[in-house]
Amino acid sequence: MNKEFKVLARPYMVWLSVLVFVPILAMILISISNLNSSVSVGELMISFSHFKLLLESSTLIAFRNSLVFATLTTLLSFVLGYFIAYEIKLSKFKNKFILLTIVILPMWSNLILRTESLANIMSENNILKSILGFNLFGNISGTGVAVLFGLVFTYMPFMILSVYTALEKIDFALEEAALDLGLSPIKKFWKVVFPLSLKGVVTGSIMVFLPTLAGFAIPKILSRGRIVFIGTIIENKFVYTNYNHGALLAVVILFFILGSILLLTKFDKEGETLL
Amino acid sequence: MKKIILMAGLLSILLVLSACSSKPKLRILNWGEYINDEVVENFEKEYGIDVVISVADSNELFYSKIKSKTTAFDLVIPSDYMIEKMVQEDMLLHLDYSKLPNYSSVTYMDGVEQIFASMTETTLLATDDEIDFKTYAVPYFWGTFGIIYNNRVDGLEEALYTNGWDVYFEANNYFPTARRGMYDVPQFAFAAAMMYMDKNPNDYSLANLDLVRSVLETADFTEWGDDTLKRNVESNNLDLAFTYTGDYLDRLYIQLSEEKTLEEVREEFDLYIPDTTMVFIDAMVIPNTATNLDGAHQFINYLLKPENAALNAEVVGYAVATEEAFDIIMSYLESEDLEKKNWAVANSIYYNMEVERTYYPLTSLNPTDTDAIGTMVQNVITG
Repeated sequence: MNKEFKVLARPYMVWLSVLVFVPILAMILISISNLNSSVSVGELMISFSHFKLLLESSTLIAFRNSLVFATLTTLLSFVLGYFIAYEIKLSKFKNKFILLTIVILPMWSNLILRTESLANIMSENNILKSILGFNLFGNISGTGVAVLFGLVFTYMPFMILSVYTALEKIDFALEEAALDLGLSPIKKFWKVVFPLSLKGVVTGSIMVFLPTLAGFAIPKILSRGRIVFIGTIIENKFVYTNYNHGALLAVVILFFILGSILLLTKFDKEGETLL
Repeated sequence: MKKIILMAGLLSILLVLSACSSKPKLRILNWGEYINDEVVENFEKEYGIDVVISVADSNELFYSKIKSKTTAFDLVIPSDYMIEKMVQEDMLLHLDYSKLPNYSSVTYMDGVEQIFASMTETTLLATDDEIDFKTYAVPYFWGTFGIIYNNRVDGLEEALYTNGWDVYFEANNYFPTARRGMYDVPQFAFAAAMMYMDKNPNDYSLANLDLVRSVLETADFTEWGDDTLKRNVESNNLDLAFTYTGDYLDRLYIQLSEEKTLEEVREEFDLYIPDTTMVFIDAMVIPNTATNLDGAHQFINYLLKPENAALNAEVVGYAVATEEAFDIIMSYLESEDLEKKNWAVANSIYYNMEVERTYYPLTSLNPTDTDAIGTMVQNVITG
């Protein structure tokens, strides 16, 4: 690498080590010790006593909820998002940038604001009902369906963008060749286009799966506090200053995230589809 | 363009100059939007003191800001349980009542006296020290907790006034279809269930934890929320919610400012305060980092004066601590100014001191117990 570039990369490396690596190490230390605000460094002892938290029924259910909802959100985003991305690629519209802009349009407003509004129109009596005279969403506020809807609505743009990037990179000559050699358009899609776009799907899945797995704001608002994600418990632990428990759960989540990244590198060695 | 730069320059010089005026400073650490600026200005004029207010949004932040000693605050306004903790850790100075002449001409409201007594009692139980918290603190505002209910539901109001807590917790016996909401603060849920069982909400034990768990399970809450609770009852998406009285008044004043009458609002949603309920108090204390002791005492003395306390309450919406200040607010019942009149009416209904109630401020539990309650509540929510 060029020497100048090395120097320029340094500020971010410092940033990364001070604000990411050191905190992660601290988190691991806090999760396996008795360190807290009333224990000084001198009395520090390795202790695994917080690990019984992992067997608490609420923790297990929260983990299950996070995993199930993250998986469902990823699957739904893939099924619905892939075809939107494909449509954009096929579109004859000259300025595709505008189409992509429309896809990310919801992100222009604040996430919490969007989710609160969604919770509002999903509840039994809301502003839409008084205008339309009927309930657009039924009364799904507080249910799993509401949470799933909110998650897909929020994170699908990430899937669409990743898949679209991958699709755009496919050489049109390959598709021409496939048609030339006698494949029907449907078969061409399954045998040529889809396999070549898989990298984008994997990247997109990771970008949908991870924030869903670790998130807490959307499920908390849309389930009216009734569906507990692991992120919710971590947030609670930190709010009530039980750093040991919070750090332990955060470390467990970290393992899931590392696993997903390993999966990513397996599929995408050059990291080229990563946005 | 040059003129603008000149003006900007002059302005900034003025700002800098005014900032380094030679007046003595009084550094106050307060909650956000919790003081009437008019009161501060009047105080500054009268005593020639420069009041600097910093803001924090939790008691824990108050604690760490005093503990870290980065800024020497002269006056802090934490809540009950934090004052207990600060006294136990020797972070507060005794008040010099000879510098508080206004104290002798006021009477604390009954609820306030109960809070002080309860703080002494819980501290005695926890540490064997008998502390008179009045020697450290002068109350600023206080407030109760209550149940906001949806008055569009027939019979709910009557049932609440006849059966109290039972209606809120016994979903099997009363209004099985009512949508119930609870604050998602575990200790609030624990305390509410304890009061329903006629127990002291600060009396934590494993046996009580189990009892509370089954009570919370029966209640079958539709929502575990925070600020969302009051809005959902208001919009007919929830029927019963346990919240701060201030939460209700907040929505009430907003509705009143939108041209509704008090009766109209109360027909839609109203507040019921149980005979036994939780309360909080925020009180003025002087941390041992204070440098301007005279200024701090002058300020406390200034706010003890009923007129100033009432003026301060105009923008805050919690209850004043002295009967004299309350009487001033009551004098607005006949006021021509509709806003003031509504404020007085709301105070007379929701902070009525004629009604005898049992008030419990929450104490700060030790971390293990807090954690056990938190886990219990999470287990109830996840089923």
